[in-house]
Amino acid sequence: MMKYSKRLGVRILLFLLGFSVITVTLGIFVYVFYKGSSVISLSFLLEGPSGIPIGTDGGVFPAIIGTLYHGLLAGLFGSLIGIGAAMYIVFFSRHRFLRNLIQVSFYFLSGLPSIIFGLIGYTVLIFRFGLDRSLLCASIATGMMLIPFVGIRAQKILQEEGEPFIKESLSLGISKAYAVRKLVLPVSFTNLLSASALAMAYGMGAVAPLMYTGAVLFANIPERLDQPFMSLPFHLYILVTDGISMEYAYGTAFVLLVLILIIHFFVRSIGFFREGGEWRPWKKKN
Amino acid sequence: MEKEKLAIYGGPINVFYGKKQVLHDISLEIEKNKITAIIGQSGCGKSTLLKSLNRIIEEENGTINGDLRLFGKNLLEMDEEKLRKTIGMVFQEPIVFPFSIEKNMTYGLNYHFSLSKKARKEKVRHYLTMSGLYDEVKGDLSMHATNLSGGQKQRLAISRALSVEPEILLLDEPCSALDMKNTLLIEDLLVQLKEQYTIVIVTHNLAQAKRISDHIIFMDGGRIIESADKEKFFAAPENPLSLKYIQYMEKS
Repeated sequence: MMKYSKRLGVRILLFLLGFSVITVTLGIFVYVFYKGSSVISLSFLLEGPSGIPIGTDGGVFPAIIGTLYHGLLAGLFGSLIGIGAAMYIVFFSRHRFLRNLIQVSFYFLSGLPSIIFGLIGYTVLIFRFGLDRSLLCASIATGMMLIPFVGIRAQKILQEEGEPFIKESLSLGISKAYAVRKLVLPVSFTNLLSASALAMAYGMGAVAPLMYTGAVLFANIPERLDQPFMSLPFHLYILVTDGISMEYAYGTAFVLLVLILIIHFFVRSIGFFREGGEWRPWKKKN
Repeated sequence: MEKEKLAIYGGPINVFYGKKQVLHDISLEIEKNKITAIIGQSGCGKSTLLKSLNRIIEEENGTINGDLRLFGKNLLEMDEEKLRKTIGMVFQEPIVFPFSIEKNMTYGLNYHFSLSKKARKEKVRHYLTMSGLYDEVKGDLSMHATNLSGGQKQRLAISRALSVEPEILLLDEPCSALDMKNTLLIEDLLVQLKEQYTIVIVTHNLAQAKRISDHIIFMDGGRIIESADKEKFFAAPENPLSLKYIQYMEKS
């Protein structure tokens, strides 16, 4: 049997490792907020970048909007494919080989470096198909990266929340498609939406998939999908690698973190508004 | 027995999971408006047999070979939805959907029938009253079903199964997770229901089988060892294995 001192040692070590996670998270946020807060102003949030070289003055407004557009589109793209594929392997696939192949693909895709998605996006969409570097191309490239992010989570959600309901539905003589539409999707909606929103946050912070495919140093807010756009992480990357302004780089990082925090807050709060498969009935008391 | 009196009959059927055979040469005679209890030790194939009757086993990659008749038709060739509407099933763990009680009840109704709002409400009330749940929830059907107790959830599951108007009801150890009071409530309900439905129940509780069933099917190792009327089975079982099982269960 393990001695008391050894058990205590293990507990302290594990506590310190657990605590280190909080320290790293808080450390990043506090440091970025401390360094970036000096440039945060209304004009920084609401104006485009200016100065020579560009980025030494002005703000990041087009990059904020561009990041949101890109995150939303990439999240949508990744979620549609990821959730759809997860639904197929959990409920509809009768071929074990195909099911395993999709699962292995999820894991393989999740392990690919993000620059590969940028490279493939550039080679296929821009070089092969002749599309312009644009919001659409960048969103598709990032969306591919998000497929396993959403797919693996969706598979777990649907297995845990959907399978017993499907079995029950089938025993009532109800078709699988109806059960998925009327029961599984409403019940899993909160968690699937959370997975998609987290994917959106993850996609918003990516640089590699969009640096060859759509993000530029300066652009106005895109009005169409085939226009290039500014993105906060790419802007930050340029500000640092070209040595333009570390102060503005931290300011940009500050804004990016706040956006991601808002999405995480949104994800956490969805559950508050839904109970089981229904929106919380505020008007009624049971 | 005359075929007109039987709900399910025929065989033999063999059931496989992949290449592994789990049920061997099963022949059945399930009498209409009676309670048939399937008993046997854990892993003997009771639940597998039950899941073969509405072919839900096929959703778990199981396959059934043979010929089994449901009111004269080969149930292995029937349309799955039609079959499962005719043969309802209630599982061991009560499954309630995380919606209101009313929505739980209207789920099957909406799929199978085109009903006016009034007729739908009437049916919901009727089937909940049948299980005794309507009075207990005091008619508050907007209550979230997950707030019900274990016994109430199981009775909701039974009401929901009845709502699609099956002719046969399969129950897989419906009381195993319930206390004595709720077990007795369900047992009383099943005895009442047999006037209108044919009931097949899997139970590991010999006393329960004795209390409520009319007919016993005793299984072991994926085979039916004995199938007899309750009185005969408990008074003078034909197979020595049946006798050994009864003696063991009565001692424990």
